[in-house]
Amino acid sequence: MKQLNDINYNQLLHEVEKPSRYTGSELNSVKKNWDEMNLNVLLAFPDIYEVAMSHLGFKILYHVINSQTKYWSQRVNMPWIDYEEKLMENNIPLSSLEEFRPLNEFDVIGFTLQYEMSYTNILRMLELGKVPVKTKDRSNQHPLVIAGGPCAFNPEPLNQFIDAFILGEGEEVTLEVLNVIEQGKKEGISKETLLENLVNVEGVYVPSLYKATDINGQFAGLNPVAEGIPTKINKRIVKDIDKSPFPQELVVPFMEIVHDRIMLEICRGCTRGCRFCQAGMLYRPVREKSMDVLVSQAEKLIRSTGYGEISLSSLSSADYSQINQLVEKLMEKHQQQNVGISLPSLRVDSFSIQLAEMVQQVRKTGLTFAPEAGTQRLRDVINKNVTEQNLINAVTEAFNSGWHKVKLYFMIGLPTETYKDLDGIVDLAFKVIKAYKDVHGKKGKLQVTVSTSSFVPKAHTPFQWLPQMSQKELASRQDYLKDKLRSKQITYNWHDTRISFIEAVFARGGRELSDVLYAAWEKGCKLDGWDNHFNYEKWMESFAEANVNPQKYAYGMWDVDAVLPWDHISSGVDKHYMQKEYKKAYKQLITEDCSFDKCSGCGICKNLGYDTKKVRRGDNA
Amino acid sequence: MPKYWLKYVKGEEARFISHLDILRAIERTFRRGQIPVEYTKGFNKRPKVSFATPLSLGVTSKGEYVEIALTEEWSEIHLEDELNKALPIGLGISGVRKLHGKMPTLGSLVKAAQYNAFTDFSLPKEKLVDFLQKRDVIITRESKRKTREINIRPLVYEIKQENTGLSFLIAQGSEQNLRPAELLLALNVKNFQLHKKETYFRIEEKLVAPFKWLEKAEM
Repeated sequence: MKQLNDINYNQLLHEVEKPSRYTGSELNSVKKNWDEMNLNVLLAFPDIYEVAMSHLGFKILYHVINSQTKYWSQRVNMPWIDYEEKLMENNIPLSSLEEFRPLNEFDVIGFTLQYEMSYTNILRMLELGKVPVKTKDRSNQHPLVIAGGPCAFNPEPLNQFIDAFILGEGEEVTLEVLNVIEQGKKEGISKETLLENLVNVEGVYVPSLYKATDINGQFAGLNPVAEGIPTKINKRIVKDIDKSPFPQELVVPFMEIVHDRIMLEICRGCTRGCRFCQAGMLYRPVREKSMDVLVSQAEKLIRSTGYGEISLSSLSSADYSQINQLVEKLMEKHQQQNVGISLPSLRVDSFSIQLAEMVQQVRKTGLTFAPEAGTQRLRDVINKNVTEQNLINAVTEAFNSGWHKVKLYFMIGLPTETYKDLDGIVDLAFKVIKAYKDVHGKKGKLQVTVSTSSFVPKAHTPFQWLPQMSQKELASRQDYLKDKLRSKQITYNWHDTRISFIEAVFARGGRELSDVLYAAWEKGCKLDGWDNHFNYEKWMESFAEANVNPQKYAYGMWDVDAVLPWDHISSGVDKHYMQKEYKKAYKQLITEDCSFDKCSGCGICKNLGYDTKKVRRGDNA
Repeated sequence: MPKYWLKYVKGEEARFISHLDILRAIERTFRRGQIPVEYTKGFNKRPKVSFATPLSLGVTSKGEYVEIALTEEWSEIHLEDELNKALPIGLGISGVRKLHGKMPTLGSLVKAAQYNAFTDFSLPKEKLVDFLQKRDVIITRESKRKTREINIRPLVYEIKQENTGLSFLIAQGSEQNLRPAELLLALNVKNFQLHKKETYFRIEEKLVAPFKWLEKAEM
């Protein structure tokens, strides 16, 4: 093992950017004795340190595993190019942050799958850690490689590399899985037997135990290879979020990371029902933490981390039923210590003056709103149930309270989008400027950032059957906006259409995509989510080599009755509901949020034994 | 409001933590330890801390100093204990002195520092003797705007070989400053690990450690 005081390793760290990405020893990081463990687990985040350490789920799992005395979870991330090169040059394997232990010495490596463009990093990290990348090349002498997170809901593009997937929320199932692995290790069973044992844990999918069937050359789904293996894998959820383990001692990095604050999860799930939104479907049902639990968790976290900011996180923070009281209470308790509160993911309709003013007492961070589409017509198509008036009211209130920075998020290339909808985006941006002028009489300090991402059809959403717009068309729509959004006050950001294309291919890809991924890894693709490292040409060569037509996945208009590559995986939301939502989109019909209105019939409560109305208030324990 | 000088250690684990990140870590330590630290006024409130000198990345130290102000009086020992309980691994307080009366800023007092350089080979003795015998050793120092030549020999007060490497006392501070890496480069030492043993202030011609300086100043 490499030690920090090794002079050559030290020299190496001197030669890389931001060496504290690799040195560990952060406050609240956990050290145990390797030899005394029943299992040594490595949580792997396939992106760089700053991104990994900003992810709440990763921190929760670290805590959950380390709360077991006989398990030790260490961490590892994708290295940046410079450090990666140094590792290769010096033949040093990629190793954990906690004790510089190479990847190949662990019992289990667990990858988190947050976005498709991190897939090549997984292969690269395994390679750097001297672990064979393919499942078939690993025995029980190698670490078992498991993965979870939202992208596990379409696991097939990774089927050749990941031994087992965990679907849904990891707090409970992770320990159940580790128990089975621990037992298997004790008994010295083969990897094949271990995988067979693992499918008995609800929420676990083992791709090698499923095989594709076809009818007349048409894909007819993935089915178990033997009896006793579930035909459909259901996701896991935590029933009582108040009692679910939440770290009291978050790891606090020394270096500045993306979300450098306490992330206090106030609510899980969102039932607003935006039709493009995968998180909105996958994280159902809605579960709120109670005020008392949140207030006490906040207090402990400030005490254990020393952070000066708490972000009240959830998919839609202002929807929390007692948001005003919660903010008030936290302000009252912690203002003295100079602790600020931030609210990510605000919806424009639920934003109030009161909330804005309370939050800004300590620190004024920028405000972000996501109208998603420029016209009411298109917002009705995607079921983003907010109006232009909502937005103007919200920003006016914000400007009155002293905000000068607003970010507006939109998606382009949405189904049925025309240039009129793009004009709507432009129109909204200028109306925001006008609202500022109305408040302050001048435009002086105002900064409006307009960001557009490109629509990517995602598995398990009502838009999963729909094609992505062509790269050419997306690019010309971006050009159109670039031209129209010219203003001193506006900054316009857009996404690389080529990256969005590859993302779409993998978001809807089947098993054959794993050959493409393998080829791309062989060609050296990595850090694809970083514009300057993404190599489109290499990806195109990889598709050709694997004999896979990427357009079929990104641009295919799929029949709603066709068998989908992820039909054996259940998010708990009925397919029938998604079909219904898809059809309603084309009629511009709104579906109300069941937290505040009638049941929309998504099936989640029925399938998982919940009552959302009660759950919303946190008493479905 | 009472002011204190803290002497702290930057250990192995914190070696690669930048100066700015250390500042942030200390800020968080105050909140964790519920230290009643004085904040700056204004919109972006920050605790009132001022460092003696920023330490280069990759250097460990047993002789770092920082001044802080509290809103209420704490005993030196209590402050030291509470800070040590709250600090991350790799950082530790090794001494606290409460200030009596107004003192110059730490940064303005720094005149020299003692370092150890651990190297993976031993420097030929002749080389060191040669260096010591010279009156001028000219190096070029590049800054953002210009490159200039400086004579570093007068900035080296003392240098000797030890079994693990080199030990040297050099000029540091706002008037004259020699970076340890510059000295090692001039001696052609490439692989090294630096450790600062102590920071020095000056009383007349004599170099003294900061707490010693304080004793004299307060007499």
